[in-house]
Amino acid sequence: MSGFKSQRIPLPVESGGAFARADLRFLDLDHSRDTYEGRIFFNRPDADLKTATRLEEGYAGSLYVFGHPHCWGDVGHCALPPGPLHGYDHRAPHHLVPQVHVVRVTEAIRGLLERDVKTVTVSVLPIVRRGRRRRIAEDLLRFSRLELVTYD
Amino acid sequence: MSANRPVDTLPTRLRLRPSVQQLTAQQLDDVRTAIGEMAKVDDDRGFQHLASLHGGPPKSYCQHGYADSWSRYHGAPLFLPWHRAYLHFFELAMQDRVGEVMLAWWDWTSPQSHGEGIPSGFTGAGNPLAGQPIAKGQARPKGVPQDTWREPDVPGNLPDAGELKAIIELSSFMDFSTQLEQQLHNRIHGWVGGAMGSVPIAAFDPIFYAHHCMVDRIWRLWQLEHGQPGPPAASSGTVLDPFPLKVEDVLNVGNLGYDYAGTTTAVGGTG
Repeated sequence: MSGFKSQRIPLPVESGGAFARADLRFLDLDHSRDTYEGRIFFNRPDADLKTATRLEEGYAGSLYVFGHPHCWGDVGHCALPPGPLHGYDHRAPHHLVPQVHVVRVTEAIRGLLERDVKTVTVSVLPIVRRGRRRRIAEDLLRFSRLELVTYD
Repeated sequence: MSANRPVDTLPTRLRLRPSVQQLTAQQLDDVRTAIGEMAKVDDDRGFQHLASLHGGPPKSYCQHGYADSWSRYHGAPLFLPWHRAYLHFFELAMQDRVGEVMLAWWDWTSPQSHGEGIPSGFTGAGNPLAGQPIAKGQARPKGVPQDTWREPDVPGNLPDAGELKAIIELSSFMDFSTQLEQQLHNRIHGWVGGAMGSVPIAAFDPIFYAHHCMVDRIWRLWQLEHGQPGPPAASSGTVLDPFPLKVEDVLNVGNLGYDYAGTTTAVGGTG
């Protein structure tokens, strides 16, 4: 295993690249553990730590997660509650409510369309760094859904 | 014993937050002295107390993250307003120790940062800006050392001015705030590493305040670029717990007594 690999996602070929922006949206992204970089490649299922972060190598961008690897609380403090108790529950959301992360990938999507590519497989390498050493931490990357969205 | 002075009789001169990389020797010494003196105070005026307000203990107030649950929070991310209030109260505590001191911003996009990485003024043995204890005198979570530590990445991996410009150009505040938080702010926390790479303990590292001062400055630059304060009006009345300020109170930095200088040059007057 070397990170997340999506199913094939159809590209908006009918647009011909005439959109203002393209985003990857990671829904319900977990941030309860270590801080990490999620390095994103298009159509590069073989990408690893040595793959260059350049457009021509399939690199599309990175998401950066500021994590909560330490807990000050008692037992259960960092267990995500199901949500508000009722309509009069005005407490702030729990600090570990999953997030939506948005990565702008406009250039990378346009590049694929220019080469007449019809679909994209998204690979994400969750990378933890200690000093100058990097390693892939498979279990950090958790999210419910990945969306490719273009805007006119 | 003197009574409190009425607020409306106090000086209201706007002060400028400088760049870390343009601090005079005296300004840098003031910042070091302020943090060093705050670190000696073990009550709600001290460094440890104020640092704990971010991620605990006991409670995390910091308002990171853009989640669907924000719809219950008036549809606005509170990341930028909450940290502006936080820095304001932290800066006031610094000024309790050194009257003229101001927070300074670390421009991680600058050529100097891309050469030296962590600003030299924040490194070195015995320097209170190089590190502080984590939750001094309290039980720490498993794996948390006694003092802050850093594991900086290579300077060339810091974001550049072009990346910053592209984010300031985003016209929607929600979009701008999300991209600033996730693509620049989060990235710098990870770049510094060590304590800065963990939400619950990041604010115990003094570089945190220079980093967030830069983030706050970017919001100010966005406001100037787009001629609007940012957060939607529906969030104006939201309280920035635990500070006695609402979102509407922090939209204009002038109301908090400061602004950001690009450069400042001064000469003596007539006397």
